[in-house]
Amino acid sequence: MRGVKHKTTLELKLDKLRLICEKAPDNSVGLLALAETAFRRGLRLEALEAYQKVLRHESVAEAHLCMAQMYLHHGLAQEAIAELRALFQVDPIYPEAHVFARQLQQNHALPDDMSAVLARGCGAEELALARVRLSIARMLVLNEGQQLAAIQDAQSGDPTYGFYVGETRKRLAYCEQVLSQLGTLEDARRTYLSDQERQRQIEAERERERVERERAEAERSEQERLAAEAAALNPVPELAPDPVEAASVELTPDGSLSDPSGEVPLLHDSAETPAPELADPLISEPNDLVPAAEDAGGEPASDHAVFSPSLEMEESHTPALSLNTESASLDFHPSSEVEEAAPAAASLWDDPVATTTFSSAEEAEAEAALRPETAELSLSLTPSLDDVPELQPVLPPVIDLPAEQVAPSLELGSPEPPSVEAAPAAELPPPAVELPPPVVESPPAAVEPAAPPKAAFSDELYAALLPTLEGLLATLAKTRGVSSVFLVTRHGHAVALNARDEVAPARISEFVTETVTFLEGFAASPQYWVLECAGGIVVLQAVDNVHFLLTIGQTGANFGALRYTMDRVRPSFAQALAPVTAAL
Amino acid sequence: MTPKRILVAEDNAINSEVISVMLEDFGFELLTAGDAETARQTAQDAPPDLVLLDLGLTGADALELCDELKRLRAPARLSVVLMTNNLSEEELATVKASSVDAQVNRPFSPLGLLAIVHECLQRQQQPAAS
Repeated sequence: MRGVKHKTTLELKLDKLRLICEKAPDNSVGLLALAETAFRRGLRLEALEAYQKVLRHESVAEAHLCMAQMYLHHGLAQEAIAELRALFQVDPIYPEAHVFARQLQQNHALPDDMSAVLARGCGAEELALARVRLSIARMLVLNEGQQLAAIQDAQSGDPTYGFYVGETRKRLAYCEQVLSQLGTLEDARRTYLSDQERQRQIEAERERERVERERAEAERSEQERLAAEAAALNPVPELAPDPVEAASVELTPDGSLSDPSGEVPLLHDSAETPAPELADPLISEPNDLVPAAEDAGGEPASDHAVFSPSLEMEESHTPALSLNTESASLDFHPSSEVEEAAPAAASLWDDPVATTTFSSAEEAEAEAALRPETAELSLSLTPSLDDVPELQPVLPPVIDLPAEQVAPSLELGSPEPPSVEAAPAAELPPPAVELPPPVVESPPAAVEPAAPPKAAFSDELYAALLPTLEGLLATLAKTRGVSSVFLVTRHGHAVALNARDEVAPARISEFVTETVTFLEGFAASPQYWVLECAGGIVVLQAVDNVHFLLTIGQTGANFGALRYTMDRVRPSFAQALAPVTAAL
Repeated sequence: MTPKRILVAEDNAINSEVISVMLEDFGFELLTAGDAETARQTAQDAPPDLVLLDLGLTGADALELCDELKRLRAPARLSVVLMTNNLSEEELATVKASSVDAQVNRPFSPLGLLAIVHECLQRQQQPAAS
């Protein structure tokens, strides 16, 4: 064998491409082919030179990616990031680049614009083509490795070939790794689309609430105007409603004015201006939302495309969008409660009073049973001040406030009553959502006279349980990638935490309160709420009717592992919290 | 098994040579044509399974030539990959609306081209219903 020149297929190809590039040094097709072949062969310097020549003429995604890989190989992370940024400007949906960027992100912070590109993920067509590319690359590398090994044997173990065999093994492992991570990109894409859809629903819901508010406002203004007109048309003093008569005019739940005694003439008949109804076609329901095929037109075209029905860009997104509903991040336990969610959702969203939280199923049923009564309840718009003196004595004596100032704040049920013992109204937990102006909270004694007073969400309730709870939180916090765990009540009271992230408790409180209220608009008992994004993961899990676990994970944490641990720890949490839950 | 026949219809000789180097060793039977007339003649003499067609090929409108070539064989038995330089959105829409099966921008990497060729040929082997 001595004297015989041994070359692999790749090396022979490299020789041909070198000759071509000598003939046409500015031909970018030839240069790119030479660069890629040299890179595959492990000849990084030659590849770098050829890629640089290509990039001098035009921006090519593959060239940027290989440059970025070479920079990172030499520890030049910032240069690698700059190449990736240039790449994403050319082709933001290049799957191999997404995989590389995610790897880079594990050790280096990426700029926001790149993180946003990563969050969008790649289309199905691009992922399919990337799989083919990587499969071909793997086959080529494998073939090259076998040939090199054979040549090394023939050369009696020439160490030069040994080095290239080792390089080939690395490239093979890299191909396998990237191939396996393409699935992550698919997940990211699904999550992104799911988040987009959810965002649309939230915005539609906000818009609907705004329209309802405006309508109620307009109706109230109209009533006031009519009242003013009526007063102007009837200047006779005896017909003008005196304060006593005004006090008997009541605001019914549908927003119109009524007079139970029939003595006060109605200023505005509800039959003339019906109360806002859910079925109003002007109000768009979330169900009416058709997911816009934002990817069809919104994504930049790749530099290559296969125009088959199965690979058509637009159509390739259809299944991805349809997955939104099926693989939404919300993970509800299959139960009869879920099937009943539709009517429940409507009532939850449309009746702010219904967002009052229930600490148990029995209480929910009791509340439902009380609904008709509640609907008939009304409250005087000018409440009598007779009750005020009864409340004054229990106020802390150090606060020396005039009765006129104290009374209204108690009457309206401020979120943080000055004293838990002051009155039954003050013992109720703060409302989950801010009630809109037309809904006047009824006196608790009238709604539920026999109900036992509820305990407040104070730390005292949990004091005895804290060591156990903190131990359980510590267990959960050991899950890979998890940086913070919070045990929070549905009203936002942070019972215990194990946090390494800098998150203000007020933010957690706000987040949990709003999220739980929002989720319960979709289903009776949401179990998981998951947000997976480029920078990490946030999981909200229901422990029982009152308590929720909020887990924050950094890059590397994944829902599968988190769910496994959370499912294992949850029964312990529920058991530990059972006395408090029962008391509440 | 009969090797798949690929016709490279490209008037830039260097590009044509590079493409041939890219595709060799994969068991394809490679033919080349430097202009439209040669491409027509070659396709008639030895009907290809896939044509790599340069959008600016001398002697014909590439999209019309694509239609002509497709008439030579059952459309499902011939795939045409259009090689282009950067296209405007309007041009891309025109290409998409044509009978072309796939499009690739120059400069293309060997792996990128191989993947598209592989996809097109794979599709020919799938049943017509799918």
